[in-house]
Amino acid sequence: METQTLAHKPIPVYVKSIFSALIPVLTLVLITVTLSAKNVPGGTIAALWIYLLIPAYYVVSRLLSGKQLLTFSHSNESHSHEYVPGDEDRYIVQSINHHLEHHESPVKKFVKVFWILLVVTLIEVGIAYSSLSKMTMAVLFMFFTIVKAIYIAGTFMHLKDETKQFIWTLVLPVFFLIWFIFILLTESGYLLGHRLF
Amino acid sequence: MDTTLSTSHAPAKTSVWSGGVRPFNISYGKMMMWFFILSDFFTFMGFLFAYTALKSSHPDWPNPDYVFKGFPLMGHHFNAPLLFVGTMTFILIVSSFTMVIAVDAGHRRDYKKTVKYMILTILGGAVFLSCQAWEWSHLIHGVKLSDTTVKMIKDTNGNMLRKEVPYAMVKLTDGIITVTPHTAILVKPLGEKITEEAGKAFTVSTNATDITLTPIGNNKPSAWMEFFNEGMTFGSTLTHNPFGQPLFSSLFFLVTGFHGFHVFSGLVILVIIAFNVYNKRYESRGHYEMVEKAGLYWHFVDLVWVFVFTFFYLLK
Repeated sequence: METQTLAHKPIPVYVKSIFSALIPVLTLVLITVTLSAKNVPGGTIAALWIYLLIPAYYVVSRLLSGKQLLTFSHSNESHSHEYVPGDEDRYIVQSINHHLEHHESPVKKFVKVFWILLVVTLIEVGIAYSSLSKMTMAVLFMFFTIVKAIYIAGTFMHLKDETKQFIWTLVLPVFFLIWFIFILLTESGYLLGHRLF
Repeated sequence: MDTTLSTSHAPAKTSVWSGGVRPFNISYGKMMMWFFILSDFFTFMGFLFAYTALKSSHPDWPNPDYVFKGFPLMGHHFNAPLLFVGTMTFILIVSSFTMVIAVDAGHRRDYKKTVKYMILTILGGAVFLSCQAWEWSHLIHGVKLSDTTVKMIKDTNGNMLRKEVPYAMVKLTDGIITVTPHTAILVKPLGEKITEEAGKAFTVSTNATDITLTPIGNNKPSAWMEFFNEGMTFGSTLTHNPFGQPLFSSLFFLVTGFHGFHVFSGLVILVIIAFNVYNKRYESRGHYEMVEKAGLYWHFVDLVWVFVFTFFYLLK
């Protein structure tokens, strides 16, 4: 116990949590102050603060938890560089092999999706140059965007190969966005009227 | 009592959620990457929906076709909206495609092919970031006064017009800014700027086509010209936007900057993992799932760009 140095004393949890909470609050305050200052390239300075705060957070939290800033060597116990595959690795290898056995080479499919994405983008640009009404354009753009998103997530990100319950776990929350945009557009319609009249 | 218990635990009722199996049948790392992607997607959608809401609540929102119409090396008068950003989209789609090939090669543990396609992906991402850097600097440096297009938002009867209004060229002649052509009178974003700062040196009067400046005291027309050149050659920043509502440019820099930062961190991740694959760091694990996880992130960057592209460049 006597050999333990001051730096190794555990920091109370509440100190750590106060410190962690301070970072976002401080960032927001700094951004606000910077943006409200006149004749200042606000974006640059705000970005600078954010980029400064992230390493600062790392350094201070390392110091608080009594660790070295940079670790150059492993401790004696974990010196071995031999990687021992665990259960997780065995599971992953199994599922990849299963996938390779039961599916043909998917490259053809990827090429097809690539062309679809490209053609849909070109169609979108074509629509933007056309003289359709704004509303029609908006509907078409949203439709094509969702088509592209489905192809990217489904094929490129292999979401189609996942289990049904996992797909729903991811897709269901996305539907809440519809409610979100509905609220925001209602609000903005009110604001527009307020600004105009 | 015993029978009730045994029936409630009858094996016929087992589902994937009863324990002992993986209900999602997905590895831990990939699942967590997906959950991160979902939360990050919400962050982006929050930004994009905020953009949409603010856009539809401001009558003087710029039309993106007039803002993003340039192309590198083509000069200030080049006018092809969506050409440059379409090229950027194409580059990102290509890099997404090469990434998916790298992931597939990783499944087959073909480390050379994996590294090759990962390097192609990194190149695509770097080109995309460079394109974004050009676009930002083009927007920040702005255009010279004679090229400035200004939006009119009120007609002669004082009715508010929205984005349908054609842009007017503003030309500087001695003491008079001629607004050509059309009938509208007040150029509001710029007009406010003129009135506010010009008030110290001269009075401002407007009629259907002109904004006339009358000198106060000994001011000379040449001095005004310099003044206007200074005052009006502003590009887009967080607080100024020559095309209209300043919120437009601040949101543009915020969201594309946020996306660019994602591309940048994706590049860092890809470089590290390509390096590890090249050093056969993943051989002892028996699988290259790290490549797949990095690939998931990279495709997500592409997925978000699809939305950014729609919300910022396509929707008017």
